[in-house]
Amino acid sequence: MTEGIAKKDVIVAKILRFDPATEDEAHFETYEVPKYEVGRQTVSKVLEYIFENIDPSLGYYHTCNRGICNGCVAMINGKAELMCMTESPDEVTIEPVAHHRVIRDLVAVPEEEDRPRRRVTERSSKSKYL
Amino acid sequence: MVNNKGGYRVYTTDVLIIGVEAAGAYAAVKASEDEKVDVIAITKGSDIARAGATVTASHSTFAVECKGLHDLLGAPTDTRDSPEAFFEDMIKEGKYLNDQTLAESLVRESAPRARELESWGFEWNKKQFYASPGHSYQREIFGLDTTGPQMCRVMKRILDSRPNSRIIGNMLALDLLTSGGEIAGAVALDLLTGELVVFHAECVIIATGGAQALYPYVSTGKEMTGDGHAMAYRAGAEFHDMEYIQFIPGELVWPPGWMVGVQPFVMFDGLYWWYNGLGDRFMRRWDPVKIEDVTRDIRSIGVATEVLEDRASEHGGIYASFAHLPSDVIDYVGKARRRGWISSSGFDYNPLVEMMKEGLALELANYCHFWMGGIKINVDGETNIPGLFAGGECAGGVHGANRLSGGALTQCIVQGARAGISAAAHARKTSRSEVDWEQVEACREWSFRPLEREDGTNPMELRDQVTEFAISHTGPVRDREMLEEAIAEADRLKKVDLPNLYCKTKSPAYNLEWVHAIQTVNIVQVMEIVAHSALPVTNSRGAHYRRDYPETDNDNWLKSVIAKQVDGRCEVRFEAVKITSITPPKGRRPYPG
Repeated sequence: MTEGIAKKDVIVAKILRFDPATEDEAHFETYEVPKYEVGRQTVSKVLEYIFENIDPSLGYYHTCNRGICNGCVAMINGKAELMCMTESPDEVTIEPVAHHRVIRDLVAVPEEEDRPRRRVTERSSKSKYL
Repeated sequence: MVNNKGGYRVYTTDVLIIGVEAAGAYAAVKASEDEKVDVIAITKGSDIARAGATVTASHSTFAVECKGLHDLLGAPTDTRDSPEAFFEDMIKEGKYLNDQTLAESLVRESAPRARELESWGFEWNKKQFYASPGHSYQREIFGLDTTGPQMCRVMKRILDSRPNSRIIGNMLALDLLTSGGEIAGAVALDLLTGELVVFHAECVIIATGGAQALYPYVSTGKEMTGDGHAMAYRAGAEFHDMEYIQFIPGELVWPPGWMVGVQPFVMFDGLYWWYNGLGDRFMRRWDPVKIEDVTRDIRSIGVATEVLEDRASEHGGIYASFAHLPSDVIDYVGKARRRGWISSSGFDYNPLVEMMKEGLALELANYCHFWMGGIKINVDGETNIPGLFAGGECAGGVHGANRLSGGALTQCIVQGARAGISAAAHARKTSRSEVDWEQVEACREWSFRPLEREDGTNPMELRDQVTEFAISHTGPVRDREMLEEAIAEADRLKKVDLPNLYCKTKSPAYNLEWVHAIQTVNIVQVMEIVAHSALPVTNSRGAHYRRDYPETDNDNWLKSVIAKQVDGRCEVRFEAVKITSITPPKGRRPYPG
């Protein structure tokens, strides 16, 4: 079971970091995260590992962990996806969603307003955040 | 209204609601029905349904007595059911510890509230009804696409359309403000800026849910850190039966990555055989006939006993084996059961099913699912502090020692409505108390300390230590020694480690390290209340299992434990259970009774 799955032993995560309070512009930082031998390592799990073991200044959104609250949307390798539902590729680039004001790193709010006061649509869909 | 006072951003409102999901949002909707009452609802999620337990109750049921379901919602249900039958089931499952006035209100108002939700645009699935163990009739009902999240969407639409209500996200509430024994508002941390914000209010409704994150595994989001409990305790609120916490052995600790609470548990519920680390099918010791097919409380206590007595599986749980099932049966059952329950969660469970077909076991551990105990309220959601209301999971008493399936969302809706209505009435007849700026400064002092310190304890490491300690000392299985150790450990943590918390990251906006530091202070506070409430209760009942007192004692222990902070100590007293119509049985019998 285990042998066939482990291709590489690390996930290389490139994250767009930006703390508007202390920095003028965003920059990429690269982290190496141990890859699960078995199981399902989502982008959220990768970020959690970085936050808890490498860099606690990382800002990201994480709550329901099952693709329902839609709070953790980010650009994963150029595509807007939910981080908690996306299994991390071996090389992954994570950026905040576009057209949002960055609060810290991957945490961003819609630009027009400081606070999200979106109208709620009947069905959740990922595209409404962009 | 927003202005600056004492150097702080101050929001003035009539009703402040902390936590905006099923209970908080319902309270906000009901309170803002009165156009003269301003309502602000704050949440630490980025918006409504972006944090908390309701959003994870997407495929959970809502329990409504069938007669009302039939009469008010036109659902083709079993009309032999009645509010009385539902009430009786609740009291029996609660092992006669429920506050019967609260339970009666839940039962009677379940159908009218379900109807009200429908009138706001909520869609019920009126074709499927369920009766989980404990329900005599099929009175559990789902929302058409989801249950919890759909409720939030419906209520957000109403709140957004009203000029007198406002939802503010990214606000981590820290402390309540009181003045002359009455509520004056609350202090919160604006996560987007890292500023302390003051809410000056006539009354506050706490709707923050349970404190699941006191334990390492949770069926909810990990932000359920009992913030509402902790701030209410610090303000002098009373707590009702805090020793009753529901656990379910449904956390998949191996293989990793599918830690999504209830799904794996439900998918093959009743079909798997459980083994401990010695290969023993240990549930036979608890029930030689039903074995694994017993109720949640007994399952969780059985699993916790194996873990505590060093017979756990490799990753700290137990083995759930499917090897007795032919692989084509696993395949079919997996597909059939997933259709109803897991369709919209989007997880690919096929690798798990493949593992099962190969004959490999999954490892399960107890996750914390629900808090029966909580802030003590009366039927109108009032607490012992004038102006402070509570509703939903953070409020105790309605479920007694164990909760019936489907009762959580019903509790949120019924109690949220009650709290909202009475808070609005309270706001209309009183005026705002003055803000005591010393309290604001004191709150700033403890909450900003981790940011200001230059070295000390890492919040995430301390959180992990506390949760590990909590599951082994205040988990499903307890004894005197464990609980005394838990009280001593809470004291030690409060004196030594919590004041020492520090974050390496200093810039305040969305500083997660800081958030963890504050939340860790709160879970320690909740652990202290649980340990103090559980220690004197020398019998086993529902979700509280004392291995030193394994009998259910109806002669001496049909009473409620009320805990409260007095002079910096947690003091406990006993109160007779509020009884309206069902008289509890007498006598002693071995657990589970």
